Amino acid sequence: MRGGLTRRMIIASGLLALIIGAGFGIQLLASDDVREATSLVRHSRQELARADRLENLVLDLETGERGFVITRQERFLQPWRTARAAFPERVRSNARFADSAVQARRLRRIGRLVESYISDHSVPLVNAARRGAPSAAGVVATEEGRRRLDAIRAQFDRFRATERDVLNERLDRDEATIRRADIVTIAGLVGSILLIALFAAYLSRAVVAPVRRAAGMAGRLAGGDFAVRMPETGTAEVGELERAFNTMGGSLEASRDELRRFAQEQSALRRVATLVAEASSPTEIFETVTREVGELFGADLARMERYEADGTVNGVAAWSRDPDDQQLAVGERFPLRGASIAALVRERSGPARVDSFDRAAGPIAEEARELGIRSSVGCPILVGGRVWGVIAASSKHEAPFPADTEARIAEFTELVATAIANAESRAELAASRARVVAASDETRRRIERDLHDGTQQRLVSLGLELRSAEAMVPPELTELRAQLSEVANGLAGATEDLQEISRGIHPPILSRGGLAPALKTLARRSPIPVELELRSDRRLPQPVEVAAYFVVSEALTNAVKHAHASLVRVDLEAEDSAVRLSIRDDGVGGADPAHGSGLVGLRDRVEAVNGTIEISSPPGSGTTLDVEIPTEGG
Amino acid sequence: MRLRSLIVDDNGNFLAAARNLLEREGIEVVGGAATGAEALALAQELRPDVALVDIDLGDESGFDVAQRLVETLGAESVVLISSYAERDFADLIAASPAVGFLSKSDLSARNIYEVLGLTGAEGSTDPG
Repeated sequence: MRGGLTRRMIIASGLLALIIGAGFGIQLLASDDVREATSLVRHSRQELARADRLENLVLDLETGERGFVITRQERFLQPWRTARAAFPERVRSNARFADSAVQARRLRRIGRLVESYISDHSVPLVNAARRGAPSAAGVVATEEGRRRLDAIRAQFDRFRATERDVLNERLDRDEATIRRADIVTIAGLVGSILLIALFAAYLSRAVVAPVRRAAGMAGRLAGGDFAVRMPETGTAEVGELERAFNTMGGSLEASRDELRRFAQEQSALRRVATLVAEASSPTEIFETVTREVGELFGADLARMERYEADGTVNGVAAWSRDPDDQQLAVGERFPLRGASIAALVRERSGPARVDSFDRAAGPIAEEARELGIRSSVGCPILVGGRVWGVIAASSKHEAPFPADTEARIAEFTELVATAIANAESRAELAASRARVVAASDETRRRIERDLHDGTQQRLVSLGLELRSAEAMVPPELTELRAQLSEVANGLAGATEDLQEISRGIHPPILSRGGLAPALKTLARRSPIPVELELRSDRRLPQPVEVAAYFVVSEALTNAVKHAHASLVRVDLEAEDSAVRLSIRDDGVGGADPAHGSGLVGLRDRVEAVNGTIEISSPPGSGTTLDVEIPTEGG
Repeated sequence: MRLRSLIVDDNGNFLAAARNLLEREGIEVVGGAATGAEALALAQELRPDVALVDIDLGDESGFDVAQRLVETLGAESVVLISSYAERDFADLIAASPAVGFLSKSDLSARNIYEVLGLTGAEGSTDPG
């Protein structure tokens, strides 16, 4: 509760203040008691002193009177007169201050007795003495006087005795009161200390300890231990602090986990992107992406599928968390019947998820149930605007995939799409190049063909006709015959020239007879010996034969012209799916593709038919060309 | 007796010119065929002494036709001809059972006799 701690502090402080205040209050009261007791004692003492002074007045009366009586001197009457005058007032005032009614009565009685003494005894005595009467000094008078004074004195004694009793009692009480006050003080002190100690203990437990724990936890959090938590036992704001710290710990932990997961994802994406950039084989990329997706998103199984033209879907790569477990099928076509990620994704051209295959129909759903799959999530692979395929991650657990899984898989599918687009581009490029080369070869073949069938035949026919005409000329017309003969020779020459040109355009034996006879012809016509080993029992596709022929032709030319070789070995082997061609010469080597355009042209020609060529030409060790050209599938 | 020849060539102009020349030089041209099938039929029917077979019969291979004619007429009766030089087809020519090769430009009665191993311009001798 808000302000709960403040309220408690206020209440506790108030209580403490109250109790301590009460303690001081009690102490004040005790002080008051003491003061009162002390003043009572003082009062009693004053009473006693006043009584003494009163008695002194009486004594003054007596001595004054006696003195006058004895000496008859007026000066002895002075104290007597003074005392007599002062006495009534003094008695009254003493009585007023008396402690109790009894004492007051006593004082008043003393007053009366003294008044009576004065008026009944002392005044007449003084008058008598003044007159000079002898009775004034008589024993009787004196006796009476003494008797009265004794009575008065007795009263005074009783008054003083009582007053002393009262005084003693008050002294005792005073002491008791003081003792009590001391006890109260000590008790109050002890109690206050105790309370303050309790208060401090409470504060310490309720506030200081949690704060210290919080500081400790903050230190551990700063050190990287995000799993630390503190007990949430505090009240009010302290409890809020503890909860806040725990929440903070939780947040930090979640942040770190999220960051870690993000980093893993980026690493995976980077690995895949590297493969794509290196133009790795599509199979490798598919398998890598499927594995990365499966592992990153906590799936048990994952598969990448391609949509085929016949409406089925074909698995191209699969991954399983447990390699011993039953795997998803790869290379098997599934019709898109029933519930499946593949069907949904294709319909929507977007991501989809299936939370249960329990009551679903169709072969893909069946496979899912067999493998124990509970839920799946999938994302399309879009290449050039069309849905090329789909990648699906599946889980055997209850918990569904988090909501952002589809979006995160999409980052991977984009890379896959790029790879596929690249591969398709490369394939198109290669196909285009092959078409260009094939078209060029075809053109040359046709030109050679046309030359042969057309112009060549005409020239030959003309030659024959000319010879016919020559034969018709009578032998006498030597000049005419000579001329005709010359023309015939000219025609023959032209025919030979045309043959030469045709040979340069395209060797007729290659298209008429095939690679083997053509190579044999090349070998025979070569100025340096050529050892030919041909292991081919069949005609090969035309582009392959043309490429192989020109490789050998160019290689032989180089061997003669540049390598100054004395022998060339040509090995041709036709296997099931490719042709292997190897040309070795014993020349000077050092052939550099960068320098000889012939070699570059060779490479272009070989690669145009999807072949590979390796040139090995260490200086001084001859040159070896190793060529491999695929004969099926391209 | 004149030599009886069969020319197998898919080029009509050449056939005419060749026939003209050979007839003038004393070799009878009993027939001309443009395809292998025609050639075989004529060969069986007419039984020429020599068949001049163009290597290049358009879509057909003259070598194959020559092979079949050899089976019908005998190797010594089949001569390969072409407007290509011999060296352009040396291996195939050497591998063929035909008795020899003549360049079309060199077509003449004398050259034919030479290839066939016959002596004399117009005498008929059995190949011996």
